[in-house]
Amino acid sequence: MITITREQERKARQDKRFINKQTQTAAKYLRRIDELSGAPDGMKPFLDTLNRIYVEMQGLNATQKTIGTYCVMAPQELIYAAGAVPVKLCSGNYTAFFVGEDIAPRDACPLVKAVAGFKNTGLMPVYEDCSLMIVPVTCDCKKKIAGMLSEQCEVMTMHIPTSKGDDEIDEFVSQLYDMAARLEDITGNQVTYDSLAEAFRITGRAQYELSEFIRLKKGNPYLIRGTHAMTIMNAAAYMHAEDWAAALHEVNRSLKERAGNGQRVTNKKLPRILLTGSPIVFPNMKIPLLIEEMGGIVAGDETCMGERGLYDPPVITDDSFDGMMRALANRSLRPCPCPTFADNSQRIYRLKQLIKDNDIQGVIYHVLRGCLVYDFEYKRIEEELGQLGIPVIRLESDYNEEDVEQLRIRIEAFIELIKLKQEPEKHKTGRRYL
Amino acid sequence: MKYYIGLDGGSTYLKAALIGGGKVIDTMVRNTGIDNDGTARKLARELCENNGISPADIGYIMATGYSRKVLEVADDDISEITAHAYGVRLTAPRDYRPGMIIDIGGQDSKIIYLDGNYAVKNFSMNDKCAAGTGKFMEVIAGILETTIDNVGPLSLEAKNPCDINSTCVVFAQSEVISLVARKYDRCDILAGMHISMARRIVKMMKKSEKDGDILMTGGGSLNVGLHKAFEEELMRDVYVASYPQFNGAIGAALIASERG
Amino acid sequence: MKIKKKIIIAALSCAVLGTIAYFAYVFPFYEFEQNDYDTSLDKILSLDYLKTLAPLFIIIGLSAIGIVTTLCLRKQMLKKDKTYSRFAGREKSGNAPMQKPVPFMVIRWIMMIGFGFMMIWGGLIFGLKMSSVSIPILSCPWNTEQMTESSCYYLSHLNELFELPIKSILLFFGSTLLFIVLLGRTICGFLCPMGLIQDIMDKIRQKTKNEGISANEKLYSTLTPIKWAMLLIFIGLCFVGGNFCNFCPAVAVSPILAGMSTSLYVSGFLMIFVLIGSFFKRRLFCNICPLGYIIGLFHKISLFRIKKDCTACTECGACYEACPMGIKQIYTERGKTNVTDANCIMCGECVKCCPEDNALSLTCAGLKLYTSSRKDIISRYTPKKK
Repeated sequence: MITITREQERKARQDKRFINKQTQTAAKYLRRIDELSGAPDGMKPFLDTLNRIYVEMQGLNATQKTIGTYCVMAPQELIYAAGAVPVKLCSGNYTAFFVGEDIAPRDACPLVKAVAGFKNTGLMPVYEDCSLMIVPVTCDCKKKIAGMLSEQCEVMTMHIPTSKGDDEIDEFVSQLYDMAARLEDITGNQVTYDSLAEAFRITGRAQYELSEFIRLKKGNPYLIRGTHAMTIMNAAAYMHAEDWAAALHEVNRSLKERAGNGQRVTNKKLPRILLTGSPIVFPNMKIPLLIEEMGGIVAGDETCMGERGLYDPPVITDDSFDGMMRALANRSLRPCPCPTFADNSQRIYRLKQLIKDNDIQGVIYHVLRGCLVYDFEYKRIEEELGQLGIPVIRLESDYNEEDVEQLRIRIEAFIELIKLKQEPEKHKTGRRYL
Repeated sequence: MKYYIGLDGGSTYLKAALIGGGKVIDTMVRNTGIDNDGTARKLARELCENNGISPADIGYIMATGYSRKVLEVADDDISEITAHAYGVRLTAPRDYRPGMIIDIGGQDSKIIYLDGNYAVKNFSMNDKCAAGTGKFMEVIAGILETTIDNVGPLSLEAKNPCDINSTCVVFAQSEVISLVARKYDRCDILAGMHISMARRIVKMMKKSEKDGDILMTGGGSLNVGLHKAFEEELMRDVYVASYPQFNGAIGAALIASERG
Repeated sequence: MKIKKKIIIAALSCAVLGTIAYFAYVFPFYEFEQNDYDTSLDKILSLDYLKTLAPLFIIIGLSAIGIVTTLCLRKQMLKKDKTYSRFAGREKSGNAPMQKPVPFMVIRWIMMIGFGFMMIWGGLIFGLKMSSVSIPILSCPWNTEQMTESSCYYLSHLNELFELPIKSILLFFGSTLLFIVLLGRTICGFLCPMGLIQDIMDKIRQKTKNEGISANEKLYSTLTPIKWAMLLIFIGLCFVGGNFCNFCPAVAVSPILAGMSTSLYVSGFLMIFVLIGSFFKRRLFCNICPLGYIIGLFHKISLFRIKKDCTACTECGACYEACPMGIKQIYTERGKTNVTDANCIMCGECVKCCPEDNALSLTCAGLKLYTSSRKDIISRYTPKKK
């Protein structure tokens, strides 16, 4: 007979509370995303994926082994080549964040706290299914979380250099060889020239669809809301690249149809806002949702859950196994405007580019509390964009909902500012009952 | 002549301003209470009665402030940022060249940057913390057994301002208590508090925006001590708006007059 | 690299290369009793032709041995490394998603091969020679059958140049300068037979899927002072009584293929070095080519340019990885439109590899000849239809 002790009972109750709270928050945000007007056809697979992971709390339901990755520097291609499936584990979960607050120090960033929380409760299948976690050390928090995670599962850290010189690339190539060897040990498959080439094709298809998507998304007036675009990008973390590409293909088709019919999200001229800064991970979608609910439109985003990880293709210049590894290393480091690099003026050019391409009128700079590297860059970006006459506002936020009202005031005022710049508001008819 | 009312539903007080013919005619302030809309209606009615205006002559009512969405009496609402920027047109001194507005409210402080035509260029706001706001002053005044109105004049008597480093209200409170325990002069502590507030707000300023003059609005600018601290900290002249408390309400009324 | 270190390398390589070049005729690689200049097309159809080709076969054979030995040695070295060893001996079936041939590249190859033919057998086939017009190209003027004169002989024998009548001198400088301005280093990328040979070696390596030496600043900064030394020898050797041609690798190709029995001194050895080198590092010799360096000095007035739209660049560095000449500024530049460098040979590889629309383009007098396109890059990844 199994006797259930009081501790176990308590633990079970606690777990249940955690699951309830977690699923409720995720479901709420999914509903808010769903309720937002102007979603294109074909959004369903992405919402379903997020629903499956966070609300139904299931794994990836893949037959292959899953490999967890953090940050954009761990190349997915290698994981596919080793016959495994990558899953991006950077978390935006409020419930896990509260658990993680007891584990990680107060000033750690919420993303890392949420990861620590999930791993500690041991209830999230996507985290528990991972055979290996690859943690690129992009900041101090990531470095320490790698150490914490290694107590519970297999972890491989990747050293990210602080600059992008030739020697650093060479060094990174040798790290990729190490990563391939580690993956082979875990999956039992070989990373060969052929399997790597095939993996390039798998992600290449996704990149192809993504560049189509970005092309359609660009330009004024808009065919899709930024929140929906960010949801699509977030869902990429939990989908096989092939499925994701196929689903995105459908979205692209419906967007093309929209463009053909002259259909738009709305007919009003909404202020076009660029969202940049610390990662915005589902379900922490409060800022894009607030922007779009307040009557703005997220016309572009420059965050690492967005286009950054997938946009640049690895360009093979040397037709050999080593050449492909170099292409991966080159792609992972050189075009990446991550603030972990000491000199990151590249990011300013990237932002200016996005502003030009998407006709941006204002920039919202999102900083997660404790995310120092992004906070450091704010000053410089503010100055540079100030010269262009683009207003910038810094929003500091955490993984909870207590500051939503504060954020709302700021975002509302910011949108109003852009609207007033754009054109004096149309007169409304007065209603009187004094 | 048509008259216009601006309502500013702040966190502590509800302010109302009546303008007509491009001039501020009357202003009123009341505790917000729990029934925002009711208070607002009462204020608007009293404004009319006091100045002998029939409600039919009110052309348009504009609301602003935190509670602007619940003020049903108003025809429309506008954010504080825009309202403040508008209000300056009426309340700023003659020789003020539009540049920067420092608004020190009850529970937040903000800096608004204007271009030459009084249009908002950009703004920054304090984080979710009450340091550098009217509330901060009120708490410290309470400890030092004085009222918020006396804080300014008292601090001018300081000979040797103390150093107050805490930026958090709660921590500053205990810091001040320890200063009191060490028998520091009340005036010196108050002067120190003003300096620390001014420093905190100056930190918020965007370095790239340097054009034009600086104008203080909001209840905080009634405090001469804080005004002095700002001038010291910025090493520039700082103007104070007339009707500083009502700047938002006046701005809202001004926008109402454009609409009505 | 520090300039002092560069000067030391330059001086050292000057001394070594100079000594070899000066005493080049002492070490004959392949010597003929007498040179017979028979100038009929029948010659290359005869059995004698095979005899004249013998030195070339020897060079190719020795190079092949060198390459195979190097590959084996590398394999042995990698076996000792814990990580690399497991990837070293694996099968290389399948195809990497390389780009499909683009029109620009096809034209470039056709031009290289076509011009290679012209510079070797042109005179024999068409019986036509424009010998008074000199083009700055490393195609050996010992081959009297080539289409047109090459400037390299008189540039490396300046003492002989000034003994010519004034009209010839003017014609020489006039035509050389004209080609430099009109074509610039496009000559290197499109016309030079030495370039063709090196590109063929690179193609062989890529087809056999052997890895090469990757782009590294250190490698290029070592090559730069060697290039200076080569230039010094190229121009200066004639004044101290040496002959650059005894040293020049180009002698080992063109005259032999044209059916001329030419004595090869150190050139043969150098040709082996060029072949092995360019197998592992694309266009290695172009990096130290003295003639190309001279042409490159005029890149500011040449008509061909590489233009960059800095607002479209993401600094992905693909262009730098692809560049056989190791030009880094092409991806680090964020302000200027013109990114043409003295080293640029206009091969178009950077434009081919650039994944951003219109970020890079190859222009002639402002006219865009070849522009980068994301579609070109990304289409190579489109998976096989299932």
